[in-house]
Amino acid sequence: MLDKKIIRELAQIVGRENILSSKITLTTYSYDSSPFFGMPGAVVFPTSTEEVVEVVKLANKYGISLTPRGAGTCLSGGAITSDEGIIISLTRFNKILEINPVDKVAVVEPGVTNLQVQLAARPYGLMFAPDPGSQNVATIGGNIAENAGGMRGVKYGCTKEHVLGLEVVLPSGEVIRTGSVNSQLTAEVDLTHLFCGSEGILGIITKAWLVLSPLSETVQTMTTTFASIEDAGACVAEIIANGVIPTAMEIMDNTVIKAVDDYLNLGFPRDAQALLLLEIDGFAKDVEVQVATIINAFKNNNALSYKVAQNEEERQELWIARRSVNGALGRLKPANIVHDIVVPRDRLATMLKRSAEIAKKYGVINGQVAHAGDGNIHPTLYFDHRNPQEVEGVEKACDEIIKETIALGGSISGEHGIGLEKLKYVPLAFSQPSLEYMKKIKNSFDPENKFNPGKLLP
Amino acid sequence: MTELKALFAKITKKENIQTDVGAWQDILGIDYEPDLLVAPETVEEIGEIMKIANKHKIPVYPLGSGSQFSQGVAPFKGGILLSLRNLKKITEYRPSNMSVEVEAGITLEELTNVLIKDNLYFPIQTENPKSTLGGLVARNGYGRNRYKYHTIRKYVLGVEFVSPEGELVRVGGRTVKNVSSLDVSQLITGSWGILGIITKITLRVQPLPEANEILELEVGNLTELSEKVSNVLKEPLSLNSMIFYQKDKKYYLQIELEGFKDTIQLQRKGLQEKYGFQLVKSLETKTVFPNKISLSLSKYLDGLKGLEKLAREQHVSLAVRGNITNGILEFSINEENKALLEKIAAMVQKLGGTLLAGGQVVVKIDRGQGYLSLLKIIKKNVDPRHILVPQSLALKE
Repeated sequence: MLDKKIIRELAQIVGRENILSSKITLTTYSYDSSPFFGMPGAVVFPTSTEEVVEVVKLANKYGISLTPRGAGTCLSGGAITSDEGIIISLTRFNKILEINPVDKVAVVEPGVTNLQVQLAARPYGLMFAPDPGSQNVATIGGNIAENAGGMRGVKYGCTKEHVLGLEVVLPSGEVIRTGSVNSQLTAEVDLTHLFCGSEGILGIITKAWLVLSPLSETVQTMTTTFASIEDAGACVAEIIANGVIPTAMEIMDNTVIKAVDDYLNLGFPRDAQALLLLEIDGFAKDVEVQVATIINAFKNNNALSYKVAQNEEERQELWIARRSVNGALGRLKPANIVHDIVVPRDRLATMLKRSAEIAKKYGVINGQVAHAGDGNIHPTLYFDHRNPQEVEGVEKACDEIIKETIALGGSISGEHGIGLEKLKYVPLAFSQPSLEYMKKIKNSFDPENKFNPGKLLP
Repeated sequence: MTELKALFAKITKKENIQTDVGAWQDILGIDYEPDLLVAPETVEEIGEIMKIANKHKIPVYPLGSGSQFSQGVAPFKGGILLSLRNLKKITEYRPSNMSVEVEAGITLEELTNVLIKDNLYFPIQTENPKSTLGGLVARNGYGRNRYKYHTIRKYVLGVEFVSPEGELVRVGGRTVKNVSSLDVSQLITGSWGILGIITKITLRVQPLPEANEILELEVGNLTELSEKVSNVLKEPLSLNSMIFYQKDKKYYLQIELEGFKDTIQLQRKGLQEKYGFQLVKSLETKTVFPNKISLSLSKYLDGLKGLEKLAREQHVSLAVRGNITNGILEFSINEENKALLEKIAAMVQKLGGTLLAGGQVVVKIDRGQGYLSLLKIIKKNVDPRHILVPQSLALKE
């Protein structure tokens, strides 16, 4: 906890009702959605850029670190403080300032939730494409700082592809405006996309210009099962090779299928090695053509059976299994570690198999779901954290999974970020000169290393 | 000069070093006076060159096709041009991953020709097919279809570059989802060569669109043009670009549709019936005007109307054309008129746009001193001896 004098000065900036400083309230901000903990010195809730600037200046005056935080759904420890610093929560800084349907741009404050942007855009026939699973609570500021993905990622990309410009408060307390809605005509360096995925170590986002995409005319959803992971992988490859870009392409492995079937009794084929859930959206004729290609791919790759949703109710039913994965698996063991690896698409089946083998080797339960379209796999290891042998097994399995990912030419994080969780793996993925260069960039923004220190860069 | 040549002859073959002005004047014109041009053959050679350049404080200017060089670099005397023309290989091609890794000197044309064999497509198609991918990434290039395909940064999965101090840096990867580090590949993209020399880029590619059609409509006057544009933009279309041009005092509106064949045909029929659009062979791209304005789509028609009004008030003859969906308005006036140009500048400023007149930046977005200071700090940290593109227009006040 911070000195009472500093608490008083902070209260003067944001107002007494916008600061937390007692032990109990601080404890509720000592964790995010990762396994890490850290007691903050104070939590403040600014509601304007000016207030954020004053907080930054005050923190600089006393040499205290700052961690920006949205809804705290971060899975890698990005939203907690490791050195009792000040947490700047942006959740009350949450107005939608403008929706421009001609430019297809939304201007929002950082505390607006992802879902709020979706809902605000809908009356204009528009949507905000990145749709992380946490969208009804996760904030835009957090989505940008972690470059959040989502199941629509394969077709629409991640958050950074939908950001045109930002207003950011720098560690110096200065405010800058990056990017533009207009086409560039002059030689200019745009810092917008460097901030995307920077996990709060370069600046605090106080405004964002977001790209809105047209809502599609038609949506078609279908599922199928396979007797082997290889068949599923080959099917996915054939679909993509034929020029189809599905809106969502989700794979669930056998462990997940059994767990979900136990949980929901949906009558799944319990020995199927993979379940594939696909969704296509677009103009009616586009969807028609692509669905035909997909059904063909099913047939060519030994699909056991398939189902195409005939209406919205059936569509929701097909999605229920995918959405219940965490709940279903949580019944098996009390603790879990979710990986977030990405491999090139053509290595998807290989990685799924290797990951399953690694877990088996260490006697760990591994339930895998994958965003097949972009090679992003979430092998989730379930274990009893009270059992030291299981914990050791899990740690060994994690290391091997990461090493295997790198060996296959992949990336150690696709959407959850590095935070604290994967710091030790970063040097495996990047050379020393590359890491040195990154540190020079960080240094340029934050020479005193006060913004979310200890995150992202080892 | 011979000393300089000798220095670099230790790193690369003699025939890769050119000292006669013809080597660069043909590409860059007469405004630039480097001491020599060197065209290394490998990434390692580039690293060595940068280390020597740092040691002797020699300015280095990376060069692709040179087509946009003058947009990024102010005229200079002394230093070396580092041409990427010998680095043209495709180093990793993975059609099933929809990714391709290329060396920076490969041209758009060369890449397109390889991809088409696998029914693949790189959607950033700028006017000059001989633009190099390194150059395109360095300037965050885009084509006439920016409305649908955005700019090249959307397709950059990873970058390898030589830092100003001669170190080899690899950032990003080859996967479409990647949050494993500070995204320096997105900083290098659009950095106009001042933060590193791009040597390889991993690009995302897409399936080749099935069909592409151009439709045209003759429109009587500006009011009618505005009305048609507003209405067409509300239709659900697979729209690549929308442009307008003038011919014999009449306006013409052109729409480019791209996507699945059945859908395009359906949309074309709809546009034919509703508005009277006709199928034509190609977009009008021949005319080039010396002055350009960039505006957001929502302010475009105001800008166009404002421009015409100002010209009329000053009794000046105005010729216009533009890529509406890109927000670009091009114009030429038949006489030097300072007062008119000032009024146009004021209007563009008010609309939050950019104005280039006769090659000079007249109006641009003011980001304030804080932004430029930050860029200069970044520059100083990665290029302490200030040798990489010291005359960069990206760092100009």
